[in-house]
Amino acid sequence: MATKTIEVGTLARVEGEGALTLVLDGDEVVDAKLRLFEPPRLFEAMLRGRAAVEAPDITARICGICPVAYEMSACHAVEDALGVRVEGSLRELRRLLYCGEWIESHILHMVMLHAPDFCGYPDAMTLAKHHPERVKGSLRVKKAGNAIVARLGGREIHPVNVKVGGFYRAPSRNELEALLPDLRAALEEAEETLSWVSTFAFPTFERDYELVSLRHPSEYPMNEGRLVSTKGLDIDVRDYGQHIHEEQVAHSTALHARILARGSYQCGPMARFTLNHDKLGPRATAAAARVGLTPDNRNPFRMLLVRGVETIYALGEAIRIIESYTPPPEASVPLTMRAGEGHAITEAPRGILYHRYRLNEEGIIEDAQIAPPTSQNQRGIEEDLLALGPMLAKLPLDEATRRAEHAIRNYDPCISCSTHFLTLRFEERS
Amino acid sequence: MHAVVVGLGQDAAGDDGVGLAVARLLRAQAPVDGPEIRESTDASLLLTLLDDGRHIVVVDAVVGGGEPGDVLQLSPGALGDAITPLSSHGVAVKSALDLGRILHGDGPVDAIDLVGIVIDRPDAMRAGLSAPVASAVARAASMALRLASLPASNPKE
Repeated sequence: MATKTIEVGTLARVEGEGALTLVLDGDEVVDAKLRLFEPPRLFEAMLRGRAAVEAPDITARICGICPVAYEMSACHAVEDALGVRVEGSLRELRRLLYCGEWIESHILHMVMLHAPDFCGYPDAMTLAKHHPERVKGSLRVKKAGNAIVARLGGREIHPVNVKVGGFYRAPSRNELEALLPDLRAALEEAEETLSWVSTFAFPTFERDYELVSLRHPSEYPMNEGRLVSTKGLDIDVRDYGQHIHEEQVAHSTALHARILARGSYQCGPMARFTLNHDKLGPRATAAAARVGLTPDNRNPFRMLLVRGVETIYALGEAIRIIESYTPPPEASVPLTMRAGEGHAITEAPRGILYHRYRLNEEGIIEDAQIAPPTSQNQRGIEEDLLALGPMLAKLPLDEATRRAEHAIRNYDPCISCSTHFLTLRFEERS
Repeated sequence: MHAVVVGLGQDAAGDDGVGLAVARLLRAQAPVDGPEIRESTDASLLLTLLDDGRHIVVVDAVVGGGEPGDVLQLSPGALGDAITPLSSHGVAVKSALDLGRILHGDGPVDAIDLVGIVIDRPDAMRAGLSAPVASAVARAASMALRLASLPASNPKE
């Protein structure tokens, strides 16, 4: 039987570099390696010896797309170590800030990065020529999300107003209410965007994933909750390390994560929706029903629809928070340094983001661990490509390349900043 | 509607942060009734501003076209030809403008004023500006403020 190697060359991206190798034996993919070879950034080592209160600002620099996620996980983990709780209006402001990031990240990925795959276009430029109003609409939704982050965070990218214990400055009610007109318009636009993407043809593909997300007793999860899965995981976030291990693999500078005794898992929109669909509220629930999205969906290509539903949810939640907002008496709660270890998981747009810090008596970080969603999903992405083998083997080279890229982009990994990032080379050997 | 001055760049890439430095200087010194000042690492901001119909003045680092520290008044058509835009932003300026032409036509894009500060090359993971580029910040801010006070330079429609 001839063995065919699909060698995907350099992936040119803003946030990372990587490649893909698929080895096919007949119509079976016998090896799939998503190789991330961006140099290690050593943030965990960089954090050692720094003050715990610096963690949000330092870790926000890990990503320009989801700095809020890093700030939130850092704040919650340090607060866990210090025995601090942030409640009331400050907690709501954090949730509002996270809504802003979900909105801008999800809509950018849906329309500018992922929709071209479904439409058969090479890039967003071509998409814009054929669907200018959809692209303009998505930019208006993104603008509404950006405005939340800028208003609460002080600027749109790498916000500077977040601190352990709350914020440096809390906005007035008028400042937040000024955001409402654009948010309400964006909500209508997001509904139209979801209707549009629901008309796409979704490849038939399912796998038996273990889906992992936070679950909170009363809200769709963003900042807090227990860590649960579709295969029985139900743990305090402090026990993350006892159940999920990260390990080095030769072909990637990103660690691979697995659930002990079981293996890969998937985090992100499909996991959140499956495990928390009952917390979406009436408007997002109706939107999901309208496009035929059900909690038993296991087709990763349909994550596009989940992002649309979550965008609608985040816009509605942002409006709710602003309409009920009462400024807090203080912008942050006081902190008292002490030795301890703190853990937190929050829901970044791409999935769960785990932070752990061990502090000494002066509040200096002695050890840190950060597990981003893309590395947690990496093993599952490779397994998706293995399972797609029979489909890929039947396709011409260029179409197989596009489908492999498309499958990777289902996860909105930070490596997908370009909508056309694979260069494929076939090798055939006997 | 006031003009908007957009400083683009990346603080962690050495001289590529000069657009941001100009925006910060303007924010500290610009008159209260002057232009809105924005700063971003991502040129996709220009697309939302085009949607708003604003007079836009972009301040960014450019490679080529002069010696480091030179301040150039450019038109959007110059990008990608003699002057190469940097690409360490989420969306490069040229890409954002190309998309802007598709969505809004040539007129609004050609009406954008560009202030380019010539740099040698961006440095990865280095904060701060080199001496020649730092010396250009005030001149670039002055040019941006002057352009923002005028009608757009290249209106075609």
